[in-house]
Amino acid sequence: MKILVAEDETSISAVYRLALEDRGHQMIITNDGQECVNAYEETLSKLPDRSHAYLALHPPFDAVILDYRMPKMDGMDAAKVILQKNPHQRIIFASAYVLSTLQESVKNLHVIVELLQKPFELSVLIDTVEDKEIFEALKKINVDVTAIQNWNPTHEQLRELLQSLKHLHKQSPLLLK
Amino acid sequence: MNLYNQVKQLENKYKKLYEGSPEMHRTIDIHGFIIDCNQAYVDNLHYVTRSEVIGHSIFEHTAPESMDSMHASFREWQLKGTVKGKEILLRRKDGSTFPALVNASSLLDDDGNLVGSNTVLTDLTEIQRTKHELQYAYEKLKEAQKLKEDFIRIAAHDLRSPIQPILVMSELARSNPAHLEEALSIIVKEAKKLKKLADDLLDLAKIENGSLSYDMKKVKANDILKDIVEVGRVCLLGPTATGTKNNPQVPSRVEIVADLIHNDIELLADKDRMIQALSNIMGNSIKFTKEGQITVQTRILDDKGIFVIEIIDTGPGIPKEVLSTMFERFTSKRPDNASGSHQGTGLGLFIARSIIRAHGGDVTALNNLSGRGATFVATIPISK
Repeated sequence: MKILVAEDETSISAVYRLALEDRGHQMIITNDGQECVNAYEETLSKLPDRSHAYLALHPPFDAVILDYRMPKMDGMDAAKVILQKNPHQRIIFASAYVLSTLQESVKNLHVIVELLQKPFELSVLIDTVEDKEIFEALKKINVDVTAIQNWNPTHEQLRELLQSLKHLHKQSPLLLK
Repeated sequence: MNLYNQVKQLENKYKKLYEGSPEMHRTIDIHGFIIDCNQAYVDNLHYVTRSEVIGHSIFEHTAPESMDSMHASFREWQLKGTVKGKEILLRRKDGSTFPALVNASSLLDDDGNLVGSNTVLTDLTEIQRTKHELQYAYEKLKEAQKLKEDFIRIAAHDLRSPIQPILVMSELARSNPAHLEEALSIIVKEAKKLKKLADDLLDLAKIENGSLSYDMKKVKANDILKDIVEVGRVCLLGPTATGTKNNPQVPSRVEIVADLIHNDIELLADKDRMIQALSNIMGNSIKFTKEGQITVQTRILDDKGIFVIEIIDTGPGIPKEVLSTMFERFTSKRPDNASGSHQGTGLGLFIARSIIRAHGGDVTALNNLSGRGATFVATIPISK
């Protein structure tokens, strides 16, 4: 995965970089919201097509991890700018105050973002970024997860896949067995 | 006993009730002139004889501050015939005032018309003093409670935040030895943050209960200042020292310039504590100065025998709202310009000031007239 991070604590951004690079992800680390937005725009400008429909399938980053409290531009404002450019962008907020972050993100962004409770454990960080929960759920309904992983879906596609499969499963349980 | 005697006895009884009461009693006519009062009233208002009181208006015995509300109560009494639990300031003969509680009942003539009032006045001086003491104790308690809450907030947040990188970096170093070097440098950096916080909290506790002791000796001012400059330079080297091959950090664009001309000045000081105080101030300047220089210079206020140390930076300056509170405990400094990693515990400058004050000196901060940067000015008495 290609992941963009905004985090002003250098010790924490080193955690993202080392942990996720070890998992084979490509990391771009920025130090505040403004730098992050700049990096996002730069990557975006290199894409052949910037229509929302294209970006839904080919986002400039598979995930953007935003620290909630940062100087210059905080995580919420950075998310606003990024979602304006690409409403389908997967965003993960890293915050010590998840509840208020969730409330504010719903209020300000009108989307439900993913949340990473700070301080986090290594496994939680990796599982969140790699959508472990969704893959576990898919495994439970006997889906060949490896095949899907090779297909490299976006987070949104994965979520939709799980939802529709669950729906089907409810209607005719035998179909998937 | 005949009827006359009975009436006389009854009259005596009520007279005693009025006369002998420890509360102040006064009787007024419908216009507010005093037609009778008891000895307590005379004594409390520091008059000598009752004749000094009788025939005078109650407004002569009202403090100027209570004049308006007294007039309002008086009009209310004229309309309704009663005043209950009204607090006013009474005016004594010498012009001094004291608080009193007013309760008035009506005197009616045979036809039921209001002709006057019996008023009981209770001295509230003691009650109000107790109330103020209670209020003061309450404020103190609130302050202590806030300190405790601030402490818990810091413990919850600032103590916890260095722990995450320490834990995760340890885990990463174990799972991938290639990360060992970088992980260790981050672990050491964060552990130092924790140590500094623990030291600061301990010092704070000592300052609060007055048990921070000072080992005062004659010491050359420049010896202290040379150490401060050295501490500052090491601090500026910090990022490169913790940087690694994989993660090289840019060298600092800040230079420390020291102009230490007063070689023979001696201070009576606890050298280590004074270095701690001035290092905290230097540390604050370094934190907020991204480029330019930090200048340390000294002056002597000859007539007062005071040594002045100035630490001048070229940072963003200090916002107005921070200037007034920056030396108080638990206030985060220069919030608008500080990044997350810069938000200290808000103890460094408080500790610095406490130490310098314990040396008979003081420290203040101001923004430079040039419009760029801030200056910390510490004043310390010279040892003769």
